[in-house]
Amino acid sequence: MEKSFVTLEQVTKIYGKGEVQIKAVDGIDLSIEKGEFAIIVGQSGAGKTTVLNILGGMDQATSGHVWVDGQDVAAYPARRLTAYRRDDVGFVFQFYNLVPNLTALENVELALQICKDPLDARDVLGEVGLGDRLGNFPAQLSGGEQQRVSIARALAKNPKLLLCDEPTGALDYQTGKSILKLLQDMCRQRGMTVIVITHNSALMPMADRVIQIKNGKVSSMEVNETPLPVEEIEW
Amino acid sequence: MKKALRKDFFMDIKKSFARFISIFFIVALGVAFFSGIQAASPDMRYSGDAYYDEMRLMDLKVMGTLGLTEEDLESLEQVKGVEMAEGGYALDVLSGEEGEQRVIHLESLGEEVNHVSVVHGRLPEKRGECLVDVQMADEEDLELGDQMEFHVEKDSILRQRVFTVVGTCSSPLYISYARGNTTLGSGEVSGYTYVTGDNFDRETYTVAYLLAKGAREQTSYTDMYENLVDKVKARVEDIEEERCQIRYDLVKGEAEQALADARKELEDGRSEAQEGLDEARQELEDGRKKIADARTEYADGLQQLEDGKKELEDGRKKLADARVQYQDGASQWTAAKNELDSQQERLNRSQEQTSQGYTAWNASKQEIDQKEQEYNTGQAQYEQGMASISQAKGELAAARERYGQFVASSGVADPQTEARFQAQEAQIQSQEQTLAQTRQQLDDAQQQLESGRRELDATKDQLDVAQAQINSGMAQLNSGRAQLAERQTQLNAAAEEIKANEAQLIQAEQEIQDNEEKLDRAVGEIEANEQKLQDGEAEYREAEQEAQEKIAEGEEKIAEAQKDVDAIEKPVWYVEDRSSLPEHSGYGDNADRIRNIGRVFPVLFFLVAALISLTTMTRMVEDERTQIGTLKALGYSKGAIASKYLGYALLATLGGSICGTLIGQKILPYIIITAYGIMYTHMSTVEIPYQMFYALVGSAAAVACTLLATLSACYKELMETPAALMRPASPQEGKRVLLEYIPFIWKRLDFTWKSTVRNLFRYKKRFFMTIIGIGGCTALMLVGYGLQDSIMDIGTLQYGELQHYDATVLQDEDSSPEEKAKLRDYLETDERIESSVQVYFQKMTASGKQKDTDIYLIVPEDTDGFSDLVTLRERGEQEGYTLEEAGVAISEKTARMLGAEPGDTIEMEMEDGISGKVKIGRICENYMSHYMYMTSLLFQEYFGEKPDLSDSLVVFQEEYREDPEQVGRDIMDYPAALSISYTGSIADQLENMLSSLDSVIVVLIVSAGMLAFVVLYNLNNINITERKRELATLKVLGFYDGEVSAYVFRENVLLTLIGAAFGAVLGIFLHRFVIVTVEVDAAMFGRTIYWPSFLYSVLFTVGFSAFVNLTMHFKLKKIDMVESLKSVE
Repeated sequence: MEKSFVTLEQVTKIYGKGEVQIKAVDGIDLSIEKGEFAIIVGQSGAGKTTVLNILGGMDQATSGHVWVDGQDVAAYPARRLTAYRRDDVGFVFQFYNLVPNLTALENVELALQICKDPLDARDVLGEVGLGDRLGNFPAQLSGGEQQRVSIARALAKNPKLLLCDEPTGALDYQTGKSILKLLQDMCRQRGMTVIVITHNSALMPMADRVIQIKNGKVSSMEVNETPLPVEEIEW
Repeated sequence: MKKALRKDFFMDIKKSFARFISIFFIVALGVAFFSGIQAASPDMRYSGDAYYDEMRLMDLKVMGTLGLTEEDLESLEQVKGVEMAEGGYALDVLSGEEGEQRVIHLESLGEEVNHVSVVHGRLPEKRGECLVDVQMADEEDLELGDQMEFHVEKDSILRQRVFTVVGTCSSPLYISYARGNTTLGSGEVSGYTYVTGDNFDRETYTVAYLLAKGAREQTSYTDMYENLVDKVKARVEDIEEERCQIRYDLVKGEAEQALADARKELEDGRSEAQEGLDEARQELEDGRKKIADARTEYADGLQQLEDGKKELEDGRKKLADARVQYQDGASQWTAAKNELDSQQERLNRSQEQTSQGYTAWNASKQEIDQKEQEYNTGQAQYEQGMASISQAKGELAAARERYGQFVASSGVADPQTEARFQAQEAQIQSQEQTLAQTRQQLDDAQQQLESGRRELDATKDQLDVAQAQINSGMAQLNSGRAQLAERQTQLNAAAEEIKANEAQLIQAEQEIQDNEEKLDRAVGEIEANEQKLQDGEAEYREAEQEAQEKIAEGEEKIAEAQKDVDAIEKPVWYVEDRSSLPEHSGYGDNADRIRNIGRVFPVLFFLVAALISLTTMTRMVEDERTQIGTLKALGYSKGAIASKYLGYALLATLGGSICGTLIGQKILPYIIITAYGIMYTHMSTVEIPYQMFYALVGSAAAVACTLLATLSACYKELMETPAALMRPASPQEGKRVLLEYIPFIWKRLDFTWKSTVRNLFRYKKRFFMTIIGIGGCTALMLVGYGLQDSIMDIGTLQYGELQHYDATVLQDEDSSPEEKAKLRDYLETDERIESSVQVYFQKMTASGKQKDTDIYLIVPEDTDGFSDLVTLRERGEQEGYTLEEAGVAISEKTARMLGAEPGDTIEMEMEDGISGKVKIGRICENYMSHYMYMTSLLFQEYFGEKPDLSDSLVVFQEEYREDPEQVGRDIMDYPAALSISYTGSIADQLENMLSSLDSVIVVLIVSAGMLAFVVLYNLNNINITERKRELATLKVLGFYDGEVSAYVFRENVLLTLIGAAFGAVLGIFLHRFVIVTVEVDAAMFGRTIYWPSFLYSVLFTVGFSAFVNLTMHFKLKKIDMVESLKSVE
């Protein structure tokens, strides 16, 4: 079978050892095509964060395969995994996780200095709408602005995959919307594969592909032929 | 505390165990160090005291210049506060070969005080056995059973000279290496030896050892002890006057008695001599008389002799007369005799003739008788012949008949027979002829015979007539002879008489001769006696003179003795306490040094520890902001919430304090006391009780510090509303730092560096805490090393750069000028001595603003030569200066203690009351003791008299510096040399003392290092915990582990470096402060820290930092990236 850009095959993740074993993820199969805007949705504790961790190379699957661009990430050793995070994955956190000591520009550059083929930081910041806030420290920026910096930091690495963990979780409605819009635009404009993890099922219509997870298993995976623009979604 | 809270409390501890434990350890370290070092000094005293008590070391020693009697001892025991007094004997003796003689302090074994501890062998039990100093035994390779011979003067109190070593020991009187000084030999005592008391011959003790009542309960070296002993000492000194007077009276009385006896003896002697002389004179007189008598006697004898001689002469004359008479008689007798004799002769001749006649007659008669005989014989022969011829003729005729028959018968004739008949017939015929001749002859002879007979008868008649005549003549003669014989008898009697008289005379002569001889002898005798008498007289005169001389001598002696008796000075007591024992005070000084170190060093140490635990607790409270908010929102009271953190802090701090006290108060004093044990080898007792005071002070301070910090942090948080608390603390704004305005540098920094730099300045509190923490540790280590530098410096500086002389020779002021000159001459000429300078060397007291200071004043004779022996310079300068007339040079520390500066005037006082005001001209570098140098002109100006430049500073030749005693002994042989002290041995002593301090410093350094480690670990731990999220994010962003660590470490490295640099600077000041505090009065420590010390302290800090960072690296690796997904707390 022809593998998709991102394919998970029978991925399981078991925490704990011995008698108390918790299966966070129990045989997940999913695939996401290149350039898709995918949303993984599920209730708290469904295992979506685990999937994100495994996808992002932050954690290793107990068993199964994680194919990203033809490579089995699940088989990577720790160092290779770090290289994978470094070069192939951009990460957007719920709480932005900016380095408070660095300005917006520097926060982006911080990520760039370690990767092989980065974009220009100023350009990317301009693209996310912060062209005039380059020199500000995170503390001087609003939550949305900080998340934009965070996205810019992820994007500037020119990753194969952009993973976003509840990117709007700490933001108000409007700002959240604008961030989602930014992510969608980036996906459309740059052909970036974006995977957003959220518990908010209201976001589903804007995705190209929606994967629902329940109890550590994929309960459904649908391809949405007609995704809506963010502006048209309400929640 | 509510159950939930309690659970949360314990969970918190469990969760943040690293933090808990680091507070625990930091506090433990701080308290351990603080209370440990503080306790070390008293512990040293306790240990020393325990040892002294165990050995029953004396509290006071009393020595009297005239000895101490049993009564003195009794009185001493009566003194209030004296527990007991024991008398003993002690003296310094020489031992060993000439040239290598060492001085040994000989002491009697104490019974109640000053117990020795036997190391090998046993205690001496009888005379001639000795127990030697174990240190000396080791040095001299003395073995049990060896003999030791002591050289003592004749009138020494030591009865025994040779001792057998039966054991080695250590004595509480000598706690370290030094054995004290002496006036004998090399001037230094090499060791001590204990013997039994019966080896000494003296009714008075030389020393009395006292134990003070209650002193044992006090700790030595404390004021309590010293006050107590001082009081007793004062009381002992109070009875000194009285006892000395008694002793003086006794000794003086005895001496005077002895003197009186001597005087009496002299008197007796004088009269005895006089008597003898008188007797001798009498004897002489008698002799003289006897001689005179003898003379008279002799004269009488002589007279008698003369008389005898006269008598003898008479006798002789008489005898001569008698002889003449006798002679006459004799000659008459001889004439008569002669007549008789001629008659006799005639008679005899006649007789002879007659006799001849008879003889001739007889002869003729005989001849005739013979001739008759011959005739008779011839006659017989003839007849016989005639018979034989007749027979022959018959036989021939018979034969011729037979033949005629025969021829007739036979008819034959035989011619031969006829021839033989004819021959026979012829023969008979010849024989008949011869016979006929004989007949003739015989007839002639008969005729002759008859004529002879007739002649013979005639002669016979004539002869008979002559004979008759002769016979009558004979008769006449015989009567004449009878008469003569009578006469003869008469004559013989006369002769006899004469002979008798002669003999008498000879006898008388002999007698006279004898008497003469006797007289001669008598004369000789008399003369001899006269000679004798003369001799006797001379002898008498001599004896008289001698007696006079002897008496004069005796008188002189008595006068001298009188002088001696007059010179007996009232005795003085020397009452000394333990500080007079060698190195005894040194131990106390060492304890003081430790105490001084304890004053500064642990405080700093403790401060750092407190600061860090404070930071940690503050962090903790800040970290748990949300929880505080939640609890507050839930309605918990402020107290309840605060109690959790206070509890946490209390538990950690109190636990640490207790643990620190328990360990620190045992280990540190133990290490320090053991370190000093190298110097005080035999003080085996180590007493390290817990000292609650220091423990409480340390713990209370630690607890108070952390609790207050926690409380203030809690207070800050608790003041806020729960809502505000629930929100994350508004993050501190990133700020541009100064560096950013220097684009030249800033642009070259990468982002991690930028972040690092900004980070450093963003959390100012943490920054400073860290800098102070790390800097503090570096500073502490630096102080430790610096102390080592400073202290180790002293010896090198003092004896290497400042004082170059090898020995100080003090002169005996009482010696004669010749002796002094001799010594001086020797010091100048002996080739083993490189140079010597005459100085005035005197201990003086300078009155300062706070207290008086004892100073050694040295006034050199020759200032130029002096600069070879003592370098005068100001600290920090290379160039020295010479003494000037403008003012004295005073050692730096002294000036500081006196609070004086150049230009000031200080008052000086000498022991013998001379005093003066002295102007300070310059300060000089000096580390040991206090010195003042001035020219003799200045001395004269200040004190109004010339200094007695009689002592000497001496420099030995290079090769003798190792063993200066070799030369020192020779110097001490000069009577003018009172004592000698060697710079080398002072330097050695100093070095020993300081090397013990060295190990204490090692303790300081190690402790500081440990603290540095804990501090770094804790700060890093805080740093990492605080920034877990940031670090997790970096990980998620794809930073390799190394990169993540580097990101953190950069900060740590910078902090460490800045901290170390800060510490180095801080250390310099701290060191100076510590040095000044630690210094004892008698010494100045060096002020310089050498660069290796900086290097070591910084390197240790960096090294610990590196190590901590390495451990942190693993901690960083463990940071879960999931942290990044969590919300901000």
